[in-house]
Amino acid sequence: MTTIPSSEIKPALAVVILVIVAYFLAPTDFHLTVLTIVAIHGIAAVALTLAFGYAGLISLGSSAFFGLGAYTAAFAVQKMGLPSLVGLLMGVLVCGTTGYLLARPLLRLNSHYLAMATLALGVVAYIVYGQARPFTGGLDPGIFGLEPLQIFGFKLAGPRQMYWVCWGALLISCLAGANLVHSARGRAMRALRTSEVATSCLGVDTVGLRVMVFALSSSLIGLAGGLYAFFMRSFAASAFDPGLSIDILMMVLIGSMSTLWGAVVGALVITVLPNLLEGFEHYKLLVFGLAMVAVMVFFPNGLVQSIVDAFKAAVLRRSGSVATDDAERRAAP
Amino acid sequence: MDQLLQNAISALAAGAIYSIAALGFGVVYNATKVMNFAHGEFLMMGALISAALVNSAGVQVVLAVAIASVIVTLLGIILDRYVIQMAVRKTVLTAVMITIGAGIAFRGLMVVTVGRDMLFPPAFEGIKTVTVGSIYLPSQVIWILLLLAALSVALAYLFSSTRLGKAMRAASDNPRAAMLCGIDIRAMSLVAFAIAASTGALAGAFVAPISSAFYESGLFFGLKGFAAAMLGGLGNPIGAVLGGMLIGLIETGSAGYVTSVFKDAIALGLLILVLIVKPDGLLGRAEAKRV
Amino acid sequence: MKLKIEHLASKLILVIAALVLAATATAQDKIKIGVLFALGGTMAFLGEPQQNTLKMLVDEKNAKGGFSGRKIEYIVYDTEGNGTKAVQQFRRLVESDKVDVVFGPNTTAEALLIKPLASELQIPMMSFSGGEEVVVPVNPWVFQAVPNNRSVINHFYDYLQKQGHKKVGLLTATDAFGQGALNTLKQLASNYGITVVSTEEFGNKDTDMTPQILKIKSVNPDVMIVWGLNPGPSIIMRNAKAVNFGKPIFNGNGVASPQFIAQTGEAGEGSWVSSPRLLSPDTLQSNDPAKPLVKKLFTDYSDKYKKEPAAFAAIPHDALLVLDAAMNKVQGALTRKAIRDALEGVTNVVGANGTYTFSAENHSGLDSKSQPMVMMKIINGKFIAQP
Repeated sequence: MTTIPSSEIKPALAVVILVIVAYFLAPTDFHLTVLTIVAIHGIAAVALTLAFGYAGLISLGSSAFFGLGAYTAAFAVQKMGLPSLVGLLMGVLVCGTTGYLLARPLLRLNSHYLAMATLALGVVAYIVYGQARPFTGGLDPGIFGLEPLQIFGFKLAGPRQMYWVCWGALLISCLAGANLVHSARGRAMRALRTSEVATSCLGVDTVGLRVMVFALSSSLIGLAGGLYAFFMRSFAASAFDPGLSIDILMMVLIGSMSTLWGAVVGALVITVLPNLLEGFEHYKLLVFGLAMVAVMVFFPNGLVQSIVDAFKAAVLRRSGSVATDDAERRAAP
Repeated sequence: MDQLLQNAISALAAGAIYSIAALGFGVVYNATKVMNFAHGEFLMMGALISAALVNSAGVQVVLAVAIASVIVTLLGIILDRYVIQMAVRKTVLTAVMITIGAGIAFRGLMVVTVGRDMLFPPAFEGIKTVTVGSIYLPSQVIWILLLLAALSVALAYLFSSTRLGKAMRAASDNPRAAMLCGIDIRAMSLVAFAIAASTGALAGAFVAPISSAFYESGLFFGLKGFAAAMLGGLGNPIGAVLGGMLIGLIETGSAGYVTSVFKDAIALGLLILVLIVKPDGLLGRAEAKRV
Repeated sequence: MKLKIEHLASKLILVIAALVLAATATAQDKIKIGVLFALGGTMAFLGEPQQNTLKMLVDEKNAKGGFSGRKIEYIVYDTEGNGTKAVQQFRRLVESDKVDVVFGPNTTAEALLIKPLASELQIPMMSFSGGEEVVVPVNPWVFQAVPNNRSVINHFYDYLQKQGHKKVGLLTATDAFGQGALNTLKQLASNYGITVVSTEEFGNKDTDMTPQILKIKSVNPDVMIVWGLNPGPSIIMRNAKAVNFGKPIFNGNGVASPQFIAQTGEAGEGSWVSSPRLLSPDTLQSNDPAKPLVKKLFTDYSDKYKKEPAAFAAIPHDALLVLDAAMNKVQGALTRKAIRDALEGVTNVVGANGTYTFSAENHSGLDSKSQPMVMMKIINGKFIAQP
């Protein structure tokens, strides 16, 4: 069942080592908090990389699923009295199911319409989350006082513990994604992105494939939302505004359209940047917009990916090795 | 009955703005087959720039609106010529993402230049509020309706009777054949963007006295404009006006008779429904669905 | 030789003593305030005047030697009303920047988010948001320096009751501000013999509220209460005038700013606004203890920033006063716990928004008896405080 090649093991190990090192190097809980949020965003970014980067599905409504995962988990625990892990799982399932149900009609649309529909979806979700007060607490006060995540009786509250949970979840998501990408279905997905007509000519059930990817992607985003709920323990609809969808999209663009690990880099950059640059808030929209345009115009494979590709190309040119070239071509998507 | 009529007038005003947005959006789509997701920002910028000029710099209204329109038109042209047409990989995906990014950049530009305040320019002078019995037609609403009428007539004339308009139609119907006839496709694209930007800016400037100018309004202008365009049939100008009015009616109807809280959600939900069920819209313009 | 060593030793001792003295002196020399404001997004109109006031008052206080000899340093982070950011910035202030006390945030949703963190990290926090849940139930580390919704609405209804109004129609915003108020408005009405006969809502980006106004008009209330932030209420006033609404309209404190008059023009004439005193200091009652303070704040702000302060600007003013009073009580080392304990013991501090008295059970300082709000009526294009 596992089809994870060595090209994925190396980055996985690198991430594991970095995560462990970062924990011990982090000076304060503030830094751990930021890194935990990076991981949570990272899961959503990986999900979007799968849908957008690999299968070419433009989804501008990730915030809808993020919020759905969070609210479902909170509802399960607070209103239904279920244990937190069950709540988390429910969040994942509800999002996956919703994604699946929405996917069939939506994915018949071409990219323009899909973009528009998902954009509208994100806004509709935001309005509903803000106004469906009996379920969500609305914009004020929202959900608060959520009990922390409990695994096998251990309460996991605060950045010191959630750090491991969230990065663990991110690693598992990446590996699961990698498994999919390198399987037969994964290759079909990538073919899909290049040309849908050609792919269906090969006998691939293109619609079924897209639906599956969308559902998977939605469930992962739901996981991220659930973890967000248990980490923040208090949130209102303002956390799931359409801007969040754009942020997650930026993470994919900064990262890579062809490697899941790029999403982790993207999440790191987008989450940490506002913390690093004082007065960044004022210029944030302009910088994001210009960056998005620049990446799509000049680096449509993702910024980090383009840098890595350029680097590899430069190295190859120097070594001039034919064998390496072949392996390179086989490994590249 | 009075309540119904008064609500209808509210619907007209909103609808007119959405119609103008849909018209501009359709012009660009027809000419370039690009759905410009930044279109709503043209309206937002028209509103914000003219409001800032009037409120902070004391510029006379007509001049302020004119200047705003020129600036926004320039930005639209830059978007087309120096951004979209420069893309390394020209797929639908990239075009969509570029326009989305451009929209965000425009919003960011406004934050940095004009600021994040909500601006309230005064209503235009020159027309008085008309009152019939207990129904009233605010002066700004009259201005908006006049704008819609003027733009509709102008665009209709442009596309049916002028060489430029015919060239644009030719370019959108069959780019290769048009090129063979000596039509500069890229220039037609620029003109389309210029039209969309200028009409959008005007609409924004005209509605600002009613709804205020704010850097975040672009998203809603855009989405409702898209909804109007899709509902009436993308690229179909009559459909654009019809769609705009319908969206306006549905919105106001929800607010007045059902629930005011979800009225935006209802209008957008309708957009999603139209996209799924009948992407050709009511008056239809054939648009390839997935094979 | 011996002399040299002794000479050296004494010099060394002097140097060490000087360093130690300098260290303790610097430690005592300043107090660091961390500030979380929402400066972008729809709540931006709150953040900017508050930030301006803070800067002006801190500079002024530092020129006079600071709080009991301790200079004030402050760091401001913009949360943009985003909870995820607010959490990160709060931790940064507390753990990285090592501030002594936190001012803000200024929206209730963020304040609720941060509330448990304040006690986890053991840092005193003076919230600038008006939601009641921030201080009920009481969290020992969280204080509220703002007239909260409950006290505002109590005062509001009290005034209505005195005027003899019994039936009200509500028109509130669907944003956080309006939602928070709506709950309290519905809850407290019966305490004043008031019946809510109609509840309508409007979105704060909406451009026309005529449908909702007509619905309220049709059930014939005594008055209409509008609660939201601009531009909504301005549009409502103009819509109402155009359809000849006819009944008195009372506005919540969200529109307590000069822009309201500018934007409503004639349509605002005769309407009422519940407002902090800062909106119109000259028209306050002469026996109002806050009047001189408010007048000074108004004049100082206008002189410095060349425009009138928004009514919310009084909040940081009062927060600093309360903090000052607390600092005066702190003996010995200035620790976060010491500040917290001192804050709890602050009594009878007269601020621009009323008189503050805290206790272990009451972390909100102001209650309806300390009269945080004044009812203003717009007469001839000006806000006139009503008795």
